[in-house]
Amino acid sequence: MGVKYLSGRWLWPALLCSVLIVLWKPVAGRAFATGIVELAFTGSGLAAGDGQPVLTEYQRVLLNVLSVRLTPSTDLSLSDSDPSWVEIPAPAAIGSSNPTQFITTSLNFGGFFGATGTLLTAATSILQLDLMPLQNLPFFFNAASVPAESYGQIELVLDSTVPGNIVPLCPHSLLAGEGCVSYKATFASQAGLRALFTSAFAVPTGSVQPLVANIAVSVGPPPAADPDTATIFISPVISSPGNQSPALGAVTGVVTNFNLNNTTVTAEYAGTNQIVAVTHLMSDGTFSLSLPALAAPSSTLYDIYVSGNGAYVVRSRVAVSQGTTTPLGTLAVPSSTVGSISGTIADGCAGTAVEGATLQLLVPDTTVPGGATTCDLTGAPPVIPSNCVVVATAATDDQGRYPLSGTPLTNVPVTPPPGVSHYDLKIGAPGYNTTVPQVAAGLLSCPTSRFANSCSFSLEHGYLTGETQLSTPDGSGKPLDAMVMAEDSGTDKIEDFTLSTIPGGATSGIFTMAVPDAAPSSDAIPVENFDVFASVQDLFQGLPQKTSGHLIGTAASVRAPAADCSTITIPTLSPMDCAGLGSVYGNVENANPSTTSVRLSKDGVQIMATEPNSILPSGDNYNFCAPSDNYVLTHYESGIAKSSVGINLAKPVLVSAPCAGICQDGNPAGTCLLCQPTVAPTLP
Amino acid sequence: MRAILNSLVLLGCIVAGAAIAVLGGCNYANTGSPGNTPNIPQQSSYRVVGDVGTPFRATVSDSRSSWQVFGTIPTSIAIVNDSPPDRILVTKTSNDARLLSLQVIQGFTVGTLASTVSNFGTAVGSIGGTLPALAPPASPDVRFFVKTPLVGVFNALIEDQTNSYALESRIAAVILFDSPNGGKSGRVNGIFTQVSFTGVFDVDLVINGQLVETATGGTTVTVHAG
Repeated sequence: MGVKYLSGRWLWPALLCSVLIVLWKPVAGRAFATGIVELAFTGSGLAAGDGQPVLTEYQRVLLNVLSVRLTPSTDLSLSDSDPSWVEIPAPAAIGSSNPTQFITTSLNFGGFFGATGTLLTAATSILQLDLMPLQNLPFFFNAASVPAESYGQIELVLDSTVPGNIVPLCPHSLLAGEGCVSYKATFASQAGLRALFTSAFAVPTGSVQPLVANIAVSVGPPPAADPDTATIFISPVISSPGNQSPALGAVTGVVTNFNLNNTTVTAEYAGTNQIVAVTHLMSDGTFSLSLPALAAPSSTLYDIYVSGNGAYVVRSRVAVSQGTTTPLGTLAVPSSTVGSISGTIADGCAGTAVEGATLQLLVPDTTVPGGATTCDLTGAPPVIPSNCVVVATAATDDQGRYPLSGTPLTNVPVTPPPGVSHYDLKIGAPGYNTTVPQVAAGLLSCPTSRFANSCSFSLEHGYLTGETQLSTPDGSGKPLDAMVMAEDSGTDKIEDFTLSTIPGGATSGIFTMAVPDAAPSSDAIPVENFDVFASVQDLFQGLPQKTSGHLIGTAASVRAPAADCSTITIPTLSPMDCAGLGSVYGNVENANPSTTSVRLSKDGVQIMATEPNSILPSGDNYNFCAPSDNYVLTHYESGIAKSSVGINLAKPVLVSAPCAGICQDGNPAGTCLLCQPTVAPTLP
Repeated sequence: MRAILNSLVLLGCIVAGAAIAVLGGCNYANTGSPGNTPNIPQQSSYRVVGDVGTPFRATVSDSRSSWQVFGTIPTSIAIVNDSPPDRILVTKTSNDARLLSLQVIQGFTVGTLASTVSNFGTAVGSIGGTLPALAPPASPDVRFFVKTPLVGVFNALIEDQTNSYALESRIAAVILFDSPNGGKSGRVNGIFTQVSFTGVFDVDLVINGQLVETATGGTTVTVHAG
């Protein structure tokens, strides 16, 4: 979005021209028979330039991808402006939930505008690709319609100004820039941005062709100075096998009683509403979804559902592995008309609208032996049955209303699948007890709704209040903003957050936030205890950073508010004095990217966890950036703690001016803290 | 065929521009010197993109005001009458691995990119220099919410009694009007036009948390207060 200050006289011709250009563009593009390319990236070959394991030197390596281009030519020196290039641009991420393309991914619902777009002034779409998890799990980039022909080469187009962003760990030498802050990347070589397909990549007319492109990147050396003067070199190399796509797994099936225009098959990560891909059917009702998956013997679990014509058909926790096909057989769609689920979501204490609340419609997979036949909460503490699948999602608007026109809850079958008496609607928002009311078949209204013939609810919550503190006033004399987070005790499940400001010259700041209470109504999920932690929002060379140089304030196992709308005051969080940055890297034995994680905790409060799929099976490396302090590292398998080890992140060393510090604004002492690396013992 | 279309589009633009110039156009400001309005410095805006539907909460601040913005991906956020430097802190409000990517845009160029896939992960960005601390909450807090059609692009004129600001964005968008009328009471309005009609327009004007006017319509809608 661009904003410009104009007189009205010049605006209207520009508006008219933009309309004409938009209308004209599709007409000009109709000349070709086309097929669809569904592009995914893999990331094997990420390496540090000095030969060390990349996770021992870098925390994050991100590429800023503009597009991928294909051409029938096999001439690697072909001009950039040659008309034979066709482009698969970064998704514009515009917000329709109704698939308008044959294949739709989570990033491109509603299509895309092209690399430069039809917009007159909007900035180009760029996708930031995280290369750490990409080494384990392919990532869908986009799907696009291209001329149906055989292609000879592929080109990766990165942002020419900033092709990537890199966060190095703390440096091993003193003649270095600060670690754990973000640096811009620059090309050491662009020679690898184009590559020939190892065999030709054919796109027949009307077909959907998965295309997997691997990005190998050599990174480094680590920076010798701070980000204002130093960058980190990268040499990306793209390659692709063409029509062979062993990095994806396939799910196939045939749908009966379908409508070719409306019926779709959706795949989402199991137990979530994170849609990975949606496809329409072939004319005979068959479908084939190529999905990112871990290599066998590991697998990635998906929930699959058929929607758009008649009742939902769901299959939960379908295991998919790279290079294999998982057949679902025949999926028979029962007949049903459709209706809409609507209502408002309000704060149960203040009565105000809850903006951005998420609503998920749940349907149980009744083909699972012994599985639940409703998605009502069950057990103690109450949980949603594991065979339930999210078949539609909505969010409330600025007035707490839902659904917006054209979103899935406006098109719900009034008849649930056979053997299912009613739907359930999971309603959640940060700071509130998640509630799961029933939705009656037929009218699609909620029996426990505040208002008749709708699904309107007041979400319950209490309040948590406390203080953040410093041992002594901050040397800068300026206010410090700390983000305070409350999570379910003993877990990394965060419930809400707020900002606490310590005024300049003061040593404490206050905060109050809404949190779930311990005794909500029967269809809501209670929370008994919270762990609370706070992290100062620090700047480095004037730029905000994700990792703080101030100690993390903590308060473990504080009681939740006893009842709806009640307030609990918690002990003051531990001091958040300036300590400087630190980093730690290590190994975890027998890592499985889909189940293994490592969490960093302080005083019994879980502070951070490794990113999903970021631990490499080869090398089993992980790392963290955090303020220099004492922590515990814990190895988790599928959410269950296996082993722990205490770790002291090395204190930063003092370096002389000219220099910059993470929490020493203005460099008052004439010296700065330079963070130091720590190596953790292997986690069994 | 393509050359003919090109020519028609160009001709249409010229004719339309000439016609509007003859008619005097639509002057909302600077009527004393139309056509000579100086541009202000490039303004800041933000796009929160990634996995569609991921909920987030953003804290946006310039040197004068700050705002809390709730939304779901994708959402564009723009400050009109911006007073840089700006800082933005966007936090996912879901415990999952969905991608949230923040694009900080100055003028028409993506200046900063930051991403997260962590539980309640945070992406931070800034533009226009160093903002040492977040500013106090905006007062008055004037927001325009452009909610539907979800597949759409719009142009807008946002005005107070002395200035007008033109912008173009994808839907959904939240437009934050910093200190309209110098922070004093007065009229504000917004005129929204779809670049290409893709569905029913739905725009709210909210001041200090209260819904002042909602407009639903076709190609163009207007909301105003004061």
